Amino acid sequence: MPVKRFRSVGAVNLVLAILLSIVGAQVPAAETPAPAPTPAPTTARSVAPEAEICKGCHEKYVESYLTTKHGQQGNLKGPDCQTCHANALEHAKAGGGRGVAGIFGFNNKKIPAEQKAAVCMSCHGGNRHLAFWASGRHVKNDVSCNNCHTLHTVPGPGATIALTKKNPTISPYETTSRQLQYETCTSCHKQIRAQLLKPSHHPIIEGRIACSDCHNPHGALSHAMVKSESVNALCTSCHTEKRGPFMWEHPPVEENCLTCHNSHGSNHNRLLAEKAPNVCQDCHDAAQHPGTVYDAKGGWVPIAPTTAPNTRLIARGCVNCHNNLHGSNAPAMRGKFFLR
Amino acid sequence: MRNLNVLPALGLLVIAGAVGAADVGGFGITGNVGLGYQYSNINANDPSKATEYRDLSSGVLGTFDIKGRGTDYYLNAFGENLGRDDQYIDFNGGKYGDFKYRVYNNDLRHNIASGSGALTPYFGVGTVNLNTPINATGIINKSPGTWNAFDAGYKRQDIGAMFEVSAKSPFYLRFDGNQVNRNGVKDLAGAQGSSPGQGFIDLPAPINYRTNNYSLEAGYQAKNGHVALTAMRSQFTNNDQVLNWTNGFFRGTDTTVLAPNNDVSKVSLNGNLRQLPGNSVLAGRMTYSKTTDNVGMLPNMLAAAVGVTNATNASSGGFAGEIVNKTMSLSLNSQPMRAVDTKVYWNWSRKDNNSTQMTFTPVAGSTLQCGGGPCTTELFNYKKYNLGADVGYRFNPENRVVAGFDYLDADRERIDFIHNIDRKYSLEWKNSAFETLDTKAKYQYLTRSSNFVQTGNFDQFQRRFDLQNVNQNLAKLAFDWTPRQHLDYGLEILYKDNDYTGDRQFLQRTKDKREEIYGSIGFGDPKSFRMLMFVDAELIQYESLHRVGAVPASGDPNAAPAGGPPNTSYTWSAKNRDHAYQVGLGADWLPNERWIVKSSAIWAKTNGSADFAAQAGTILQSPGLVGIQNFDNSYKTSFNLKGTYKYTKNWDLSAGYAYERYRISDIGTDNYGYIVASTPTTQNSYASGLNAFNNYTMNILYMMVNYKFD
Repeated sequence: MPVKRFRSVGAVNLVLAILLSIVGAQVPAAETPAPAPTPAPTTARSVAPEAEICKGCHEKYVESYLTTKHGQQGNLKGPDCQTCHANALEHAKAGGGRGVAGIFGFNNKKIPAEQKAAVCMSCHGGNRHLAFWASGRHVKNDVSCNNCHTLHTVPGPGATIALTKKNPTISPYETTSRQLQYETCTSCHKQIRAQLLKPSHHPIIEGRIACSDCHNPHGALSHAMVKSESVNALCTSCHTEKRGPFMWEHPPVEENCLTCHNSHGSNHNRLLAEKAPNVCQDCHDAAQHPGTVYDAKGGWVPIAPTTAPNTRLIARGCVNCHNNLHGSNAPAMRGKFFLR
Repeated sequence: MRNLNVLPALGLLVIAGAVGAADVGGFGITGNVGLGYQYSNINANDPSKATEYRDLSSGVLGTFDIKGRGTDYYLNAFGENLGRDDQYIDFNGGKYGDFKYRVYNNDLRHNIASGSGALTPYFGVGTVNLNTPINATGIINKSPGTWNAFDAGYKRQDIGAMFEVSAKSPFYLRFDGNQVNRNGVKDLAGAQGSSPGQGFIDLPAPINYRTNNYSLEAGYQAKNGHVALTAMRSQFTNNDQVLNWTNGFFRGTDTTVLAPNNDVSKVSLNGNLRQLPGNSVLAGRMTYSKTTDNVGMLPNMLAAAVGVTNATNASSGGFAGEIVNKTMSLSLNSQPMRAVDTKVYWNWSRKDNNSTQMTFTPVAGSTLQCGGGPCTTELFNYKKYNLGADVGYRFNPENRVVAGFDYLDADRERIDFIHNIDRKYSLEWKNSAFETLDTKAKYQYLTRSSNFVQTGNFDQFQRRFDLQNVNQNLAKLAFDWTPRQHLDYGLEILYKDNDYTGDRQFLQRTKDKREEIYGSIGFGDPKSFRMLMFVDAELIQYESLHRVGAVPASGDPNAAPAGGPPNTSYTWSAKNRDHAYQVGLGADWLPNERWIVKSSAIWAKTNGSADFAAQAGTILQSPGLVGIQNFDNSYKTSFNLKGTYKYTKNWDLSAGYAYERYRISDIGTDNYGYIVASTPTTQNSYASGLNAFNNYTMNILYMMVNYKFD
C-alpha cells in the first residue's frame, strides 16, 4: 500500500534543515593552529596523579572511565576517581580491599543507597531531571544511581547515557541494534519483563517505545512515576484520536484506561486485561443481551442446540457492534450505544 | 530504499562537516557504520502478527553510530534500518552547560492484519466510501474467496526536534516539537441494524491522522531548588470525519462517525525546594489543560429498510466539546531524625465537562430513538483528592521498615456511583542482613466504600466494577541472592486478590485474583561468559455473577429460575482464567578478544478459559452451559543466535539466525468462517478475518559488516 506523503513533512524537514544548519555551525571548523600554549596544569585536564595510584590495581576501570563523558580529557568539570570513590592513597597504603581505608565502592552493600546517590547528587543535584528524585518510588526502595547507570562504560549504540546491563539479552528477534532501556529496568521489575513478552504488548522490546517515554525513573509526583499528571493524559498523548471530547462518553474510559487495559502486555488482543465479552459483562448485565451467557456453544462451530455462531462471542465479541466504545459523536441511539 | 526522507541526508551533512573538523581544536570523531542484509522467510496465512512492529522484509540493512567529543562541544548521530519501515535516526549534541539540541525520526509500521486476515466485500478500501452491491438478500457477494484483500495497519512516522539553552546560567529555555503522522487502514465494525440479531460487518476504515505537538519550557535550576513553567499545545487532525458504508440489512448507505479533530492546550508549573530543615524536599506541580473539538451533527441517519433515513433532530447543529482538567500535587520528603524518613503527599484533580449537552428527538417509532424516546447526553465530571503518608525506619543498617497510608476521596456526577472513599494501608520490610542476600516483603490492604444511587431500571444492570465496594489484599515477597561472584538468583512472588462486596442486586465482577512467580538465575562473568535463565508464571482469575433474561419483580438476582423449562431467566456465574508461562534462556560468550557469540531462546505459553454455572434448580436444555477452554491459548518459541568476529581493529562481521513459531487457538477465531449466516440473509454478519490466521513460522538470516573509525 503506497504511503501517503504530506506536504507538511517537507515543511518539517525544512525547519529541521535550518536547525541542523545552526548545529553544524556550532561544530568547530578547521583553524590555523595557534602557537602552542605554555602548559597550565591547573587548567589542562589530564589523568590526575591519584588515578595513577588507582591504575596500579584497577587499570581496566581507569582506562574505561577515561572513555566516558565524565572522564574524557578536556571535560574540565569531570570528576576523577577520588571524587566518587574517596581517598585512594590511604586505601592503597592499607593494602586495598573492599571498604578499606574508607574507599567508597558502589557495589558495597554495606553502604546505604542514599549515600551512594548523594555522591552523584553532589554534582547533579541541581539538575532539573532529578528534581523529583526525593518524591519518587525508587529512592523509597533503596535504588541508587549506580543500580541503573554505569560510569565505567560508554553508552551503547544509539544511547547517550550508559545503563547497566550485565545479563544477556533474552528476546525475540529484533530489528534494532540499540541497547534498550527495558533490559535495565526489568532486571528488577520482573513482572513487567513477563508482560512485555506476552502476545499483545506495546512495542517496547522492539525498541519503538522506551520505559522513559511513559515513566520518569528519576522520580515524579504521579502514581507509578508516570510522566503525565494522569494515566489518561499519558495514554492520549500518543493515542490522540481517543482524546475526544465525545458527545457520548464511556465513563470508565474517561477516568482510567487501565480499567480495561494492561499497558505493558496481555494475553488478549488490544492489551485487554480480560477477554471480551467477559470484560464488558463485568459492568454490563441483565437487561437484553449483556446478561446472556456466551458459552462455547456459540463458537464458529456451534454446539447443538445452538445452530449458528454467536456474534457476541466470535471475532471481537461485543466490539463487533459496539465499535466506538471509547466514545462516540454519532447522533441519537447510534451514538449512545457506541454503534457508530 | 523507500521512505528515505530528507532528515538523514541533512544529518549526514552535519556529520560530514564534523568529520572534516575532526581532531582540530580537540574535537574527535569516533564511530562506526554498518551495511548488511536480512533474509526472511515467513510462513503464514496472515503474516501481520510476525511483523506486528518489525520490518522483517528481506533487504539491505544500514546503520551508523557516530560520536564527536571536544572540549566544549559534543555530537551523537545514530541511525538504523535506513530506508525501512522501522527507520530510526537520532542526532543530538550541544555545548556543555550552554545549549543542547536533538532532531529525530522514529518510524514504525504497526501491522494488524493482511492476507487471509483482511478480506472484505467492500470496494473503496482506504477511502471514506465503502460500497458493495446489494439486493433484496442483502450484500450480494457472499463468497469470501472473491472478496477484496487489504492491509490493515498503519505507518507511524514521528519527526521531532528539541532545543535547549542555558548559557551556563541557572535559567534555561527549552523548546520541543514533533509531528506524528499515521496513515493506513483500521478494521472497524458496525452493527447493521438496531438489534444484535441483525448482524454486523467489519469496516476497513482509513487512517489519516496527524498530531502536532509543541511545548515551551522556561525554568530555573539550582542546587537548592528549581521551578519550571511549561506551555504545551497538541493538535490532532483526522482528514476523514465520517465513513460511509453500504449497510446490507437496511439496504442503504450508513454512516460511522470517526475520531474528531481535537486541540489540547496545557500549562503546568512545577518546582521544588531542597535543603529545607529536617533534610527536607518540598515538591509541587499544578497543571491546567483544556481539550476542545467541534463536530457537526449528522442531520439524518439510516434508520430502516430500504434505505430509509430518519432525521436525528439534534438540539444543536454542532457539538462543541470542551473538557478542562486541573491537577495540583504537593509532596514533602524529610529525614527528621537519624534513621527515619517520611513522605507526606497530597493530590487533587478535577475534570469539568463543559461540552454542549445534546438532545436528539427522532420521530416516534424510529430505530434512532432511545428506549422509545429522546436521547440526551450526560456530562461526566469528577473531582478527587488524595492524601498519603509513608514513614520509614531503618532500625539498623540491614533492616528497614516502611509503613504507609493512602486516602482517596472521589466525587462523580453520575447516575450510579457518585462517591467513593479508598483507604490503603501498607507495610514493607527490607532486609540485607546477609551480605549475599537481600529480602523484601510487602503487604498492602485496600478497602473501598462507594455510594450507589439507584435511579431507573436500566441503571441496575450497569455497574462499574472498578467503583464497587472492594477489599483488596496484596502480598509481595522478593529474594535476591548472590552466593558468590558472578552467580545470582532472583525470586519474586506476588499475590493479589480483590473481593467486590456490598448488597448490590447484580454484582457483575465479584472477585479477581492474581498469583505470580518470577525466578531467575544468572551465572558467569559478562566479560567472558554470562548466562541467564528465567522462569515466570502468572495465574489470574476473574469471577462474576450475572442474571440473564427478565429481571424478577422482586429485584432479587437469586429469585427462582423463571420461564420454561428450560428456564430462560436465571442467575449464572462465570470463572475466567488467564494463565501465562515463560521460560527464557540467554547466553553471551566471549571466547577471545575477536569473538562474541550471543544466543537467546524463549518458550512462552498463554492459556485462557471460562467456566459457567447456573444457579441451583435451573433446568437448561442439554448440554447446559459449556465452558470455553480456548480463550487466547497461544504458544511461541523464539530462538536467536548471533556471532560477531572482529577481523581487525576497524572491521568486524556479524551474522545470525533467528527462528520463531507462533500458534494460537481462540474460540472467537478457530474454524473461522467469515460469514455468520442468518435468516433472512439481510441479517448475515460479515467478518474480515482479523486475528483469525495469526499462526506463523519464521526463519531469518542476517549479516552485517561494520567499520569502526576513530
